[in-house]
Amino acid sequence: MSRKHPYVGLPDRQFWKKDPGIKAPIRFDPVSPPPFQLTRRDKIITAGSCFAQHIARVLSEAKFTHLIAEKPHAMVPPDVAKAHNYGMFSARYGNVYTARQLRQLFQRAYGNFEPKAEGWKMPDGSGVVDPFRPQIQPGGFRSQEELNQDRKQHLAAVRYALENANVLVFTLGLTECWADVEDGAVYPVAPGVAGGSYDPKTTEFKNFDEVETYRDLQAALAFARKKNPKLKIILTVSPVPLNATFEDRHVAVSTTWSKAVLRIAAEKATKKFQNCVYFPSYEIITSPQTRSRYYDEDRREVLEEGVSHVMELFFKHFTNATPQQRGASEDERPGRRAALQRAAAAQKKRAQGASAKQRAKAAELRKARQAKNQPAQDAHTDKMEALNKVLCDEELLDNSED
Amino acid sequence: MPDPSNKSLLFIGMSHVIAIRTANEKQPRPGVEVLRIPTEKSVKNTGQAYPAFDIESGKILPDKLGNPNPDVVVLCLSGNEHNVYALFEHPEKFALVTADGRVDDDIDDRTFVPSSVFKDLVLARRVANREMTQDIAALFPKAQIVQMLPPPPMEDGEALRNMKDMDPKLEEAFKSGIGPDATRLAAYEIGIEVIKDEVRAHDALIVEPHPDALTKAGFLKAELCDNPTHGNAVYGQMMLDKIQKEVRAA
Repeated sequence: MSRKHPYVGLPDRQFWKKDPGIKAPIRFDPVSPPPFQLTRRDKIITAGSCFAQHIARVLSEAKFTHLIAEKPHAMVPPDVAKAHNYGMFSARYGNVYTARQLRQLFQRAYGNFEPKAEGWKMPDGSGVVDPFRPQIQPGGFRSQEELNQDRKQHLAAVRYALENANVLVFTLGLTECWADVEDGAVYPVAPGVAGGSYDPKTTEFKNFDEVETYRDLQAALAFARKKNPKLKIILTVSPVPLNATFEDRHVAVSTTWSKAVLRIAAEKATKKFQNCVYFPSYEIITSPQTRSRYYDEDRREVLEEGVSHVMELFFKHFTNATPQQRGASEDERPGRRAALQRAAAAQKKRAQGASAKQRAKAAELRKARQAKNQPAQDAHTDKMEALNKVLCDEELLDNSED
Repeated sequence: MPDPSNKSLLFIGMSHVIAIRTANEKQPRPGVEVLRIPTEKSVKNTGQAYPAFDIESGKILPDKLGNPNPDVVVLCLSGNEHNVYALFEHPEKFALVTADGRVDDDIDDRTFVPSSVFKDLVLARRVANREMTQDIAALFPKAQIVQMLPPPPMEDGEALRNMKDMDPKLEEAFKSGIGPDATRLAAYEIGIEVIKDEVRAHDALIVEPHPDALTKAGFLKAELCDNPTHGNAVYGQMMLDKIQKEVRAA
């Protein structure tokens, strides 16, 4: 039986005007049924641009197994660990913006590529930073030797993560980057920004097109699959616009070019690899249905409300779990979260209007609390602290049993 | 006959000023006063009075000191953070690089902890000390601030191991093993960096441990140790001499 035209009978999601997001942004759902599902037992590794940090964080908060292969030492309390970027991603690689960077990260982890770049001197000259993750270590490394030692541990963690994960979530962020002219090693930020210095003789600008980006992505994913054949792959494109472009044009124009390239590369990869799916976080944030409401005042950073929308759909489609089933509280649902954000903003505004006396009192209380603060610590450190108190206290030091 | 060029010194600290106090008790020097800040537990256990320190509020009471207006305030607040982390082996063995950034030992079986991570660990433990330093500087606005650095750890050896019988808790801790020398010394050096940063704003004169008190590798000589983490009265005497000399010269 012939149809009137080929669109007859197609699902509603394939028609713009039938999208419920036109009337109600929160109901915008551009996700197609994925080829696989996730469970809390799946070990998920994450990498990518800064938007990937949100995905990693929400996965952890929702008690999914975000595989952290590079953990801080047990004595390091959570706030210090967080400040030093442990747990942000599966290993301390920091933001991986380009497909070339991901490809080279995997190659470096297995000794297949040894860039010649040494540590970059810190801006204040007090140490060095790792050119391949220059912002990972606040305070930098004391020496090249310390950097090498930490990098050795880091790359071992990358190998562990790759070989032991069930799922890789990679968020493509940029096409522009800076590379060593000799060996092609790419850096996440230009030399001179977070260490080192820019020398056009040693560093060149690159803006990878769709062919190069796909080639790098394909090589990185093929490498990952070689090490871990059952690895499922979820690709996303960051909805965060470029912060700056080196191309001689408006940054907004560079952003669309870059995102288009990344989107094409991701799509091609889903065609090439089985169990490799594109998740449209980019579209959720940028489509007219959501009316740009998910961007912060700088029109660049994505608000928590937007992250929440993205992740609700992620959980809905990959886990078939409602917020309640995935253990999220009512407060974590998108609408509720937005309401909470508005309430917090109002409170902040009120606080700004508080008298100097009230502010001083609040500051004093904060200071007192801070002064009493002891870092959260592990059982061994607790024990050692107690022992240290004995050694420090002449009256307590004895050889009795009590 | 007291030396008129000797300035009056008020030492304020916790356990590391005990060596100074004991030395000064053995051989009193004019103008030297030691205020040891006690722990609540120690006050409770001993009933000993600390008139110049209010244990409830944690405040120093200058009026109750022998000399409420000392020329010099010598600080040595806490200073054993490095020992909490590094004296005995952690079940997850770890290693640090040396102060000049070298990897000293074979550390492949250990978790490597970057120096700046360790520094933040120490910083987090010293929040109260930082506050107290500010309070003390405000209490004695005319006094010169001197920072006496705490002594380095003891080198691993028979002398250190023989100290295990001093307390049952210590005996238990020795079973985990002593941390590697290089890492213990590195932990100490990082602690010292934190302390120096702490007093920089107060334009403090920094007094390093006496060079004659140290082994070639930079550890505190065994004969100058009172226990695994503190210097004894002889060390106190050496430091007292050094501080008076450096204060005179400053």
